[in-house]
Amino acid sequence: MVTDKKEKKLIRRGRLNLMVMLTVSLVIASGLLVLSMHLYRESGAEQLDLSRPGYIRENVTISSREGEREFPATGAINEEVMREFRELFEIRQEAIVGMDAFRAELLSDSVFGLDIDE
Amino acid sequence: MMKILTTAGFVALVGVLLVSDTRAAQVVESKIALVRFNCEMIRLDVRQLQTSDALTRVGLGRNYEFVLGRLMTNMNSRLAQNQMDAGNLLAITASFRENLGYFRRNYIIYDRLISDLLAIDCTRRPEEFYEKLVAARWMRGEVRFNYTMLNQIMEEYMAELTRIEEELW
Repeated sequence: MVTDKKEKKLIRRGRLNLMVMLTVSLVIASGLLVLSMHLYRESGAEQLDLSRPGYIRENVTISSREGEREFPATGAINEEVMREFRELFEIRQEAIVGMDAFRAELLSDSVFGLDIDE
Repeated sequence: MMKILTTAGFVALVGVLLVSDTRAAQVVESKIALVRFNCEMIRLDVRQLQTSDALTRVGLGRNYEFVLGRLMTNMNSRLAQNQMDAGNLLAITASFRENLGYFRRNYIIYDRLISDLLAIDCTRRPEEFYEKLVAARWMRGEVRFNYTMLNQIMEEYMAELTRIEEELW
């Protein structure tokens, strides 16, 4: 009879412990999730994350452009080296300037059909 | 006589200001009505712009990081190793790094404004939507300014490098 009571008590305690462990795990996991999402947003990683829905296809296009040469940080300086540097620099410069990024007119009233003669 | 003329001039000025204020308010009202009417189309366009901006940002970021970390920095240290005066290049590189920081920060603010804009139901709250659109437009101008500045600094770097080359050879 006594053993029965002890067994039941142990089982109840075991269940309780399990529930507490699950709850604590869930709370910790949720806390870490909130923290990581906060860091993801605040660090600016969100803006660079092309694995978001809608960006995945374009990501492939960008990745394929990688693998270009870099300029070595050591070595002699002569005309040939300068020419090599200039070439590498100009490739990047042309790519950047060619983007003509963040043009104002793409967010203007006229684009959205909101231009009214003032 | 002078006093009457001054008073008349003042009244006329106030009148002109009131009329132009009313006219401006009417224009904004019309725009808000158009926002409500074209709501879904506008949201679609803004969403597409946000996607293309994100891709531009990533592409630009990679190029800027490469220019700073693999080209400018490497060239500066190589010149220093060869006992050449690269003081101006170092200053230009520091300016590039600083402006790249502004670019990153301003883009984050801009992207958040666009996300906030897309979260607004423009059929129910067109005024708020239009206000946010104006704010996002302003911030886009800031990002464009940072982009232009960075491009200008890159040109300065090359000009300085040309000057060094001319001194050497």
